Amino acid sequence: MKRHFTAIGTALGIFLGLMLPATGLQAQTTRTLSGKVLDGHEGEVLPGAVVKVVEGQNAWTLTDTRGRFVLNLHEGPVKLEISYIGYETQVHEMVLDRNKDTLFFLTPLSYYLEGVTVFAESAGTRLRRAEMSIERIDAEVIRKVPTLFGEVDLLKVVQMLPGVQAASEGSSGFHVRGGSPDQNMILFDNATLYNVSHMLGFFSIFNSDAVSDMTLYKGDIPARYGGRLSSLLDVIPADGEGRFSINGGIGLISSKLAVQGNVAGDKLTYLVAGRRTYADIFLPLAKNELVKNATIHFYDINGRVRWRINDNNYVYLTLYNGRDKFAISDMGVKFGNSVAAINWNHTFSDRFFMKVHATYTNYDYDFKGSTNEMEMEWVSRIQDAGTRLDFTYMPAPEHLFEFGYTSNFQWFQPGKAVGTGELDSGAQIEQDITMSRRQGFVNVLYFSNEHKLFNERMELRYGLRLNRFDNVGPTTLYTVDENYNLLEEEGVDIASGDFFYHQYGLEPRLGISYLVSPNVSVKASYARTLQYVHLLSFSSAGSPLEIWIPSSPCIKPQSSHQVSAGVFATLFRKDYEASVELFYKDLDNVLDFKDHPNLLLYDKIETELRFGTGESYGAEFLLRRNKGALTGWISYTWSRSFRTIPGVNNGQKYRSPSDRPHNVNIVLFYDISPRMEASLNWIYATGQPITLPEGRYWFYNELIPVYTERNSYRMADYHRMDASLTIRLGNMNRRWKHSLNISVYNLYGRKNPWAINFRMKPTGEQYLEMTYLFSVVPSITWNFSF
Amino acid sequence: MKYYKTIHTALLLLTFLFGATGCTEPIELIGDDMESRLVITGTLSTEPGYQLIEISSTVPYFGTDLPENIDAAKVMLNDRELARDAPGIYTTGESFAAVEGETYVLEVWIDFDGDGQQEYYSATTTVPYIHVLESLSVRSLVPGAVDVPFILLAGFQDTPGDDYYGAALWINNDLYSNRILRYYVHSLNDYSNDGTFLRYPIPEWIITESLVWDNGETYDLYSGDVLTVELQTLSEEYYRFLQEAKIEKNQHFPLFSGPRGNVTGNISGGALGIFGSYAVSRKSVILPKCPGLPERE
Repeated sequence: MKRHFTAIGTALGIFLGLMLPATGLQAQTTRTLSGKVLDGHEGEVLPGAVVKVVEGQNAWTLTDTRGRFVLNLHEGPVKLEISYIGYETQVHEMVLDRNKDTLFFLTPLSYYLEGVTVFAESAGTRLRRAEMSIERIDAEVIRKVPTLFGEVDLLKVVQMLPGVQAASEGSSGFHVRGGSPDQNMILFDNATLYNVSHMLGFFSIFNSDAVSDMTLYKGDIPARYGGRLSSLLDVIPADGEGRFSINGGIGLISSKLAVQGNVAGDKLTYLVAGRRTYADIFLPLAKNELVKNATIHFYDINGRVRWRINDNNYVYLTLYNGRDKFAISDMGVKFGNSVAAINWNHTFSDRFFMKVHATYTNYDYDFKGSTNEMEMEWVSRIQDAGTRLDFTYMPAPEHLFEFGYTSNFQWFQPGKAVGTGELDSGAQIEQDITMSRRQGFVNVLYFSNEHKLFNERMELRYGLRLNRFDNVGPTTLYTVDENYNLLEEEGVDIASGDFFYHQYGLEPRLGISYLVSPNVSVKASYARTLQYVHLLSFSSAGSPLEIWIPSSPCIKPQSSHQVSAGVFATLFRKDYEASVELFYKDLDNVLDFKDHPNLLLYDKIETELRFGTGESYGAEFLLRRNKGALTGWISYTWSRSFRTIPGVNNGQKYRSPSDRPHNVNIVLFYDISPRMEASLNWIYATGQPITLPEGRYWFYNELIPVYTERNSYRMADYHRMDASLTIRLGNMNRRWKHSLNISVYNLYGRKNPWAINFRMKPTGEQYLEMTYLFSVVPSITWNFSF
Repeated sequence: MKYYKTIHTALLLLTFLFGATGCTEPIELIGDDMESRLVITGTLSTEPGYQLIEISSTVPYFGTDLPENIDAAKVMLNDRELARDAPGIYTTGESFAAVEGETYVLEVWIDFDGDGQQEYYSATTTVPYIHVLESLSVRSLVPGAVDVPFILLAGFQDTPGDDYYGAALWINNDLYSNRILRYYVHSLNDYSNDGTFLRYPIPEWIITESLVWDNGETYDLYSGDVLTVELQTLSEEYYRFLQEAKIEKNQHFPLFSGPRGNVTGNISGGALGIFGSYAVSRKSVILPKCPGLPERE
């Protein structure tokens, strides 16, 4: 371990040595203008506000999560424009004759005059940035989308974004550009999450009251992140800001409460948010005796503390704990996540920043059940501990360097099942099946630069990640030959702490944006990504009992090359945005199961997997309206996704489980009046691929099924419409506010399939049976804040 | 698969637990009917007697039609033509016994596609060597007790290297393993036991006072009943076919079962089915008197 840190420290030193001299020489005297942008009414910081020089110099920047900005400008008179969505734009003139630090207070736009701009950054910003394939959504948007069972859900909103599809009905999993759900990295305050579902995927673990905003990178992932092939969902926790306040909601099956405030001025702020469902209170109304006595609920609690040590040092602590319980009769399953993250943000100077993070994630499940013969318990666990050291350096207005080091250690206990029986004689019987623990260790060095060129008409972003992945004992290592036969039946035992396999990887990132005109830009990007952990998903329906395993000598890292290109435009004074984006992904070492795999609690899983290549390609069309009473977006995505894996489907190319060519998302928000707002969404996606038998023949007194190709059939197309209405009650100018939200999920009761089963009639004829989860689901929630 | 009971229990419980939340509805399969395909199945045994080859075609899976046999123009086994015994059934003589270590070639000529030209299909199998079942006993799952539930212990000498075994159960001369789901299949490539004398517990049948039988009925057992196990040493291709066929016919759990696929056969020319062989050894044991088993009147 020590030798790795020495090598990494040396490399980091080299990087710093290369970066720092790149500042160049300034022909004119440069002064630093820094400061904060704040809400003029509440005093809250405004992250993502635009601070732009409008005359004399070409320079602009965004405020960070603390509302701070820094601009390096030429000495002399400066005219600044400060803008932020939902606030009046301000213009300030000043003479910059020395380094200055200042505060700007923006006035919220009157709600009576303008509609809410939907996204967390302006259309103009999106037009200019080199990054593409990015969607940023803030918590306000998440709360406006119609809900399932009255529960606002971040991932349900993600599933409505262009290029994104839900993995299945009711699931929190999602496909991005034809990728599988495990190819999405989900971070919460930089902590890696592995299973983000409550209640079998009906809800996600994210409480919208504890979330500030989220960003989905659909392929053009910044160099500071990696580890998954398809996307990165970066969820930022909300800070407690300003005065003491209480927000809550009481719904049909769940309630929530959030308390936030500060201590000693703004020295220390806090936020605590919790929620719990009580869906099982309605189960006694069911006809089925077993369902009547069932238990279905979850709870979660978020905590966030921000400690401002001084203006140059901030410490953040994020905590999360959530648990699900699902039980019928003598069987049940409990599962959930625990997350802890601590960050230290340090400002060396107005041009040089550092962030240090430490994170820990635990996901585990515990299933218990009994039959007449046996009782059993099945447990599994994943732990992930990570550290990050991130530096941001802005030597000149044209350059933004980011570089740093990340390290993640992962422990996997894929499964341990114990079956016990007690016979009439009192004798005990016990069977114990334990899958070997597996550990992975990933260390990464990265750097990137955002380089503005040609009077900022062009922005070039380039970066590189250097990875090293290691397998670490203890484990039992199974290796297979080219025919996937075990070389050692019993495997080889690896002692605790032994490093026994490693892989290096390079992940270059490149992006370019060119402003053709003030309203049109063209962009292109290339990214290579590597993935060292893999989800062994039994079915696309999703379940909390999935198994993650790390790469190993026989399970090589998955890799992807993705290229994207697009045209982006703002229309009608930036009230509208339109874009067309094309993408192509080439995948290697993607995995699938062989036919008739041995899956459950099988330690020698290497014999059941097959590896090959994949490709995904498509086009995304988007039209978005940002201002006015009616806002929202309409998107259409056409995409295809295939796999070619020797040993699967006779080695022929076949549809991947995420191949769903047509996807339409319509999400609309309408401000009816100052007291009422409505939202409507309609989602359509081509049906999921499935494998069905087409013929049968006799053998040994059984009818043996005959299949043609894997995934050659499809379930019925998926579509549904949701609607909601929010009515603000009482005096809206008072501090005490409350509102009623009425939502209808699946407005026209579409029976979207969740699973397909085979059944047999009494005549012996086989037929298909679809399981669907929802018909029309209304809900009503009363929300309040104080 | 000694953990079969635990895993099967888990699957049943989990499917019930998660499936209880959904509603169901029959649906129609929309798609073109698959073209009928030729199926050739046959096995050779070391036990003297008629050995048969059966030729049929597939029928649509979601329909009421059942597969029917079809006649071939000629069926040869090691250059000897087999006699047609019934539609699609071709047999050896009644004294035929496959010879251990010998390779047999099956050849079939049939105009399956109706174009007036005979298509040729073939397969080979090498007969494995017998593993003599030297002992058969019952052992209670209750340590130290002589009472149900019993497990059958098969005593035989394993040979070094890969071995593929099957087992069929008779109860008082009734073939209990008359369906593939009641037939036991296992490969023994375990290094620590390779080539040793085994007292192998067969987990497929847990002997209690009644066993699952056809059409939802049960087969009742009594003390004094004779259980006969036929230990079959299978050719490798036959073992794989049986194992995969069992997986396909076992209960599928939508959330927890892997992808479906065709059972791997060894017939050339694109025909489905299997031509395999096995060596046979039998032993019997009498169920003892014990508190859990009634006595026949």
